[in-house]
Amino acid sequence: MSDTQYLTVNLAHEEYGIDILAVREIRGWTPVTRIPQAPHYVLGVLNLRGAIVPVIDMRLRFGLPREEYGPTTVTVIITVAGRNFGVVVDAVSDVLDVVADAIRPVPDMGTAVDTEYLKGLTSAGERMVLLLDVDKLLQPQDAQMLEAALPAASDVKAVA
Amino acid sequence: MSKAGLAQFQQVFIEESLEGLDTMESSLLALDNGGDGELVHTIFRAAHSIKGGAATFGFPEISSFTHEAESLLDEVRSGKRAIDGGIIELLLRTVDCLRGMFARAQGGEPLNDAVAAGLRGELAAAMGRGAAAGGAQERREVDQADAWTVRFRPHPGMLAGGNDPLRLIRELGALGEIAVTPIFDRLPATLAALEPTECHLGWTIALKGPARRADIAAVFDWVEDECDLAIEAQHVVAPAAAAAPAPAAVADAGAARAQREASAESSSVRVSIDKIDGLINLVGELVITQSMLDTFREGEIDAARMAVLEQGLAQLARHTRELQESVMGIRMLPIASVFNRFPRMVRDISQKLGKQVKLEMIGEHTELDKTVLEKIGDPMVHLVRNAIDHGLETPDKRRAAGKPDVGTLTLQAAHRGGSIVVEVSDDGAGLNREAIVAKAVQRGLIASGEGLSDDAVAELIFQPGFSTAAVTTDLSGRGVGMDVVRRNVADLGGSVTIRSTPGQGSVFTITLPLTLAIIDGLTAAVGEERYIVPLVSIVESVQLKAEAVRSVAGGGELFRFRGEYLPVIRLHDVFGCSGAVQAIDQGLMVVVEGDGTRVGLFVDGLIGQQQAVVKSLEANYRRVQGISGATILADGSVALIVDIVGLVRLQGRRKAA
Repeated sequence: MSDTQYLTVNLAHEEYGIDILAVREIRGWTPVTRIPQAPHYVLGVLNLRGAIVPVIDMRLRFGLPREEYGPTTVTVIITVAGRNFGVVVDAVSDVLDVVADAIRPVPDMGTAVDTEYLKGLTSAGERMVLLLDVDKLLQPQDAQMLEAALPAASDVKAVA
Repeated sequence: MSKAGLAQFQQVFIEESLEGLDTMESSLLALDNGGDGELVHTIFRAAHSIKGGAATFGFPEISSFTHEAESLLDEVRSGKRAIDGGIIELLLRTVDCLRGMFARAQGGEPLNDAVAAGLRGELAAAMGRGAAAGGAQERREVDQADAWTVRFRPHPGMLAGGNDPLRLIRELGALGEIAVTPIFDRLPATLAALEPTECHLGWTIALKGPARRADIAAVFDWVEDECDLAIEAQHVVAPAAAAAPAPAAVADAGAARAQREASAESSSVRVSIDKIDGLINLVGELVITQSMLDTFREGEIDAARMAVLEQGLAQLARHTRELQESVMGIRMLPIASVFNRFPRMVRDISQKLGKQVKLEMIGEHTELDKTVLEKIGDPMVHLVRNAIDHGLETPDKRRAAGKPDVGTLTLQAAHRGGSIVVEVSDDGAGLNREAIVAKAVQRGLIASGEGLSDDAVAELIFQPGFSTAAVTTDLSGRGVGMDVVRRNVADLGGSVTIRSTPGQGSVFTITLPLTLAIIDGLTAAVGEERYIVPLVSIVESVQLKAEAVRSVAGGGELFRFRGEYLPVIRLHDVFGCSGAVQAIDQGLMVVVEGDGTRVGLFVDGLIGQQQAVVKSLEANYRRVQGISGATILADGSVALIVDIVGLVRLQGRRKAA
């Protein structure tokens, strides 16, 4: 069984892994253009070489208190199902090789993040890394929100 | 060839065939109006290409169906048969039927239906083969059999065309078990008389196994003009399977066509080589300018070099603008592709209604953006139908009014400034003021027609559900008309106006932007944020005194503008911007018009005018109410473009709530 590489990011003193194949690029935090009538965690949109990309604050998404954006704050651009979106995290730290066997299921416990968005957890040395399910990061509510622009037929797909 | 490979070519073939069918249709219509014999050749060539292609790309049903039409055309072409209205009518229906078959081919549905079967019979009957439809019936039944005898006699010159008879026989072997018997009767008596480059043999092939006639014919498709071919069924299978799915297919035809039309929107653009060469040229120029500017990386820049630098930057600006125009030009297509569907439609509708209509088209070569082009068709169909159904009178009424029997319907397209103007005009009766007023009073839209200008009356027909037609026909009169036309055109950023003179006809004018990809806009400041307001919707902007705006019960605000009271939309309110100017006399009221309604848009101020390249918000996010898209400002940040029509509707809903 082959390993999967994960990009690890810091968020509220915990370490999260994002499947590196979904990561399109990492960019320093730059102010975004606010969009009206958006959920509170959608900060706005930015210009990604001519494409308009929405940016989500991961802390707000997970119901954590918002922090001042500092020099290490970055926007990770993620591609899910052909759509791009940016997530703002406190910092990026590492790239981890994770063997499938080393991924443990998430016990139902008091992590800061709702376990719904986690694929599993693994350890890197002494550290524990929570692996994010990027497909679900925009789901279910967000995907529905995205699909709202599309014909009704695709709603079914978003829920499935 | 692999299945996937074939599918790729099938799509191209279908697109080409649909173009061929368009050619056939327009040529047939021209022929109907007394065109010359060359048109027959054009029609024949189109039919022949479709037939040949269909067999090659795995549509034997289309191939054999087109074959019938081709045979009829061949007789016309060779002068054996005179062309008349009946034949043209029949061939036009054949074109329709083929369109349906292609639509089903795209949807992967069975190709033959009852219409196709009936038409085949009629085509055969028209050629005098089997005087009654029964003859055709019999022919169709032998479409499928368990055993066949194929007599294949190549003409002597067939080998010169690079066709190998043995390969064809092998291919036939793929359809079932074959037994081949050679025919020697053309073999020369002496070896000296034998010309080695010619084919002297013929073959009789007995094929065992269930096969269709069309499949067998398809094998010989490339050589059919170079051989004598006879295909005879030995053992006939009852054609039960062929008859059963027909009714369902008829019902599906409409849906399939709608689907095809929907999918047509996203298909490819054909670009002329000239345009591409022009682009390559421009890019070349741009590269030269760039390398010229590159020399300024090193060394001091003194006054002399500064002048060169300025010149270079000016050049860069010019090339960039030219390149932008050329790239936009690629998306520009002549409006002829929309106009071309009307001759047929006008012919059909006028026949149905017993009216005589002459269609004139002016400015078919006017180019406009592909996206606009695709969406302008439906509104135009509405207008043309209305013009024939409501506008133009029947011949006897026209005679009574002292007009020629034949009514004239004119479609005209032209560039005017930065817009395209499309006019649909008729020389019919014009709008019936009394009927419109009566209907509007009945529907409670107005109290009475007194004091209303003709223009105001004409505006009434754009109200939802408005129809004055006494009898609802299948053409128009269901009251889903002009409001839909206006909304569709408004969605494209255009407008529809009407000018009507009683007894002399009406003119509908559609004004559209040249492209949807770039708009001219004014940048408006609202608090910290910047929004782009499309220039076309701006009427004017005024600075108001605080007392000019009145609050009304229910929270709305109104102000007086040139004798009208307009509602105020505070942009910071709708979009929830912070730090914006609240006091009316500190900010600016931009009067905008959308969907035929004027409103005042309250912003902090206007910063400047700029061209905005419209980017989609939906590509990565979703639609936002009141926002039509986004653009990128000179500093690389994103600004949102205000959707005036959406905002007006949003405001309307807020008021209603």
